[in-house]
Amino acid sequence: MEGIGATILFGGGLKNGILLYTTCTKCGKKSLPPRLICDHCGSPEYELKEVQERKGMILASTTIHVPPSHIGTSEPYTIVVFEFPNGLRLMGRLNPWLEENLAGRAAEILIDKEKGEYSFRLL
Amino acid sequence: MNKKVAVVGIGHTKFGRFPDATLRELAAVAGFSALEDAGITSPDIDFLSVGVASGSLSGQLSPAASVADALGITGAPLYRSEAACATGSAAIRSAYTALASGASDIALVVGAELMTRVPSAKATEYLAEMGDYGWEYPHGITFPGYFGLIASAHMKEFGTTEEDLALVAVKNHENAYHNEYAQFRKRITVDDVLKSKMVAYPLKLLDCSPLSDGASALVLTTEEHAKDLSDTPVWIEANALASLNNLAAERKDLATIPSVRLAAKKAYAQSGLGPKDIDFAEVHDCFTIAEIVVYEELGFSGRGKGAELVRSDQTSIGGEIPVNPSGGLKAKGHPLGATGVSMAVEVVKQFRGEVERRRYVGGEVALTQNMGLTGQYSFVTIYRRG
Repeated sequence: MEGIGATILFGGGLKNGILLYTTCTKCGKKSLPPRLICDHCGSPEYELKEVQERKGMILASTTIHVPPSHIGTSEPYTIVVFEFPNGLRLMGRLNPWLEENLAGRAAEILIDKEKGEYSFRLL
Repeated sequence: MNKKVAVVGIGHTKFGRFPDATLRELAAVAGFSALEDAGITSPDIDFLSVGVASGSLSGQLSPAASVADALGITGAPLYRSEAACATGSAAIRSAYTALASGASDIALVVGAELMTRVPSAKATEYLAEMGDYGWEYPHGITFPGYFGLIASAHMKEFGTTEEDLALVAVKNHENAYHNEYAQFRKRITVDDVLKSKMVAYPLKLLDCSPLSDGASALVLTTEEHAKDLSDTPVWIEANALASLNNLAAERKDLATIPSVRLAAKKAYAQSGLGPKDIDFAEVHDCFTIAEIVVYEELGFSGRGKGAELVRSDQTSIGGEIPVNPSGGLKAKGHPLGATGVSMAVEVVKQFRGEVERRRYVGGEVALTQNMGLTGQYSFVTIYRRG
């Protein structure tokens, strides 16, 4: 895997419909997004794994009404921090947007293989 | 760190929207004021520490050279610091370490930002670029958004309400109403906050600090020179910095900002002081929720109990521990590079009794807390009246 960036690795996984994370083979630290160098022990030895679960819980949510110019949308959009049952967490969009405190709500991750993107949906 | 360091000069522009100003002019106004206050001139400076967070916002990259030129400083060492919204505190720390180590004798710290030159959606984008470019920025997260996530987690975990957040804005607007340097000199009510336009749920426009232009400056020196330059030196008793992991999603508990707690712990240890010894504080209320979380992390309240302080007016002027007598980032304004420096200026003015009577709190010991991003850079500084 030498020379492959974590972003490219993760994005490639999404294009195959899977979510990749890394486990440090030295200390066991799990990382999502993947880390090629462990942020706990510094080891460059990692094992690439696939997140199996698709369901989990929203830990925090916000709905943005004033977007930065690179987003170029006039519709509000919701961003959540989502936790998988194994404790890994990921930030992303929740569709459709919903303006309330969604912390504690069950949700699932959806992967769009064609776009190589993911989003969340309430259960 | 061996030598004691004191603030012996202060300067401050008004904060607000100044469409005709340039970064170097704002910096020069604040810088020359601080030199005059200390009774010295540019050739006396042997370290210029400049804090400017963004080159994109002002259009001036590598700003230290331009600021030095505007101040007529040539030959002396110069340095630019950056730590997002804590850039001003980073500039103070650069000077503090240079002085405490003996590398320099008299330092001028100038923090400045020009944020209204570009349209606000563009400014929002430049600020959002400070978030992780690969993993967070593409989702369209903004800084109000990051703090919206923190508010959502805090509300879920501790029952903090939107009214509690509004109380922080009401208090800080009341203080800024009396501050001639503040951007917003307008009293507001809880209802005004709750009815203001939603920016990033649950944060509304009046929960957010504004885009601001402005500059502030300090002259710092060592104990050998402090008494010669000022009858009223203000001593830096502690200057602490801590960091935090960058990705919001990797944090264990979004309702906390652990780097603030860590920096406070270091600062209390350095000074031998604790939260009960602090007479007043200037803290980083970039968004109302931040002030509530910061109360908890500084030990002003127990964990999850931050909102109780503002509900019971304990952080208002006249309360147990007044917080943000200047009006804070929320209402005084938040020109990123100037903010941390402005906090120190407020402390000195309070100690000297040079603030408007209605917002005077005075005292002997004050704390400033300034953070960059969502706590990736956390500064806590403790000052004592000389």
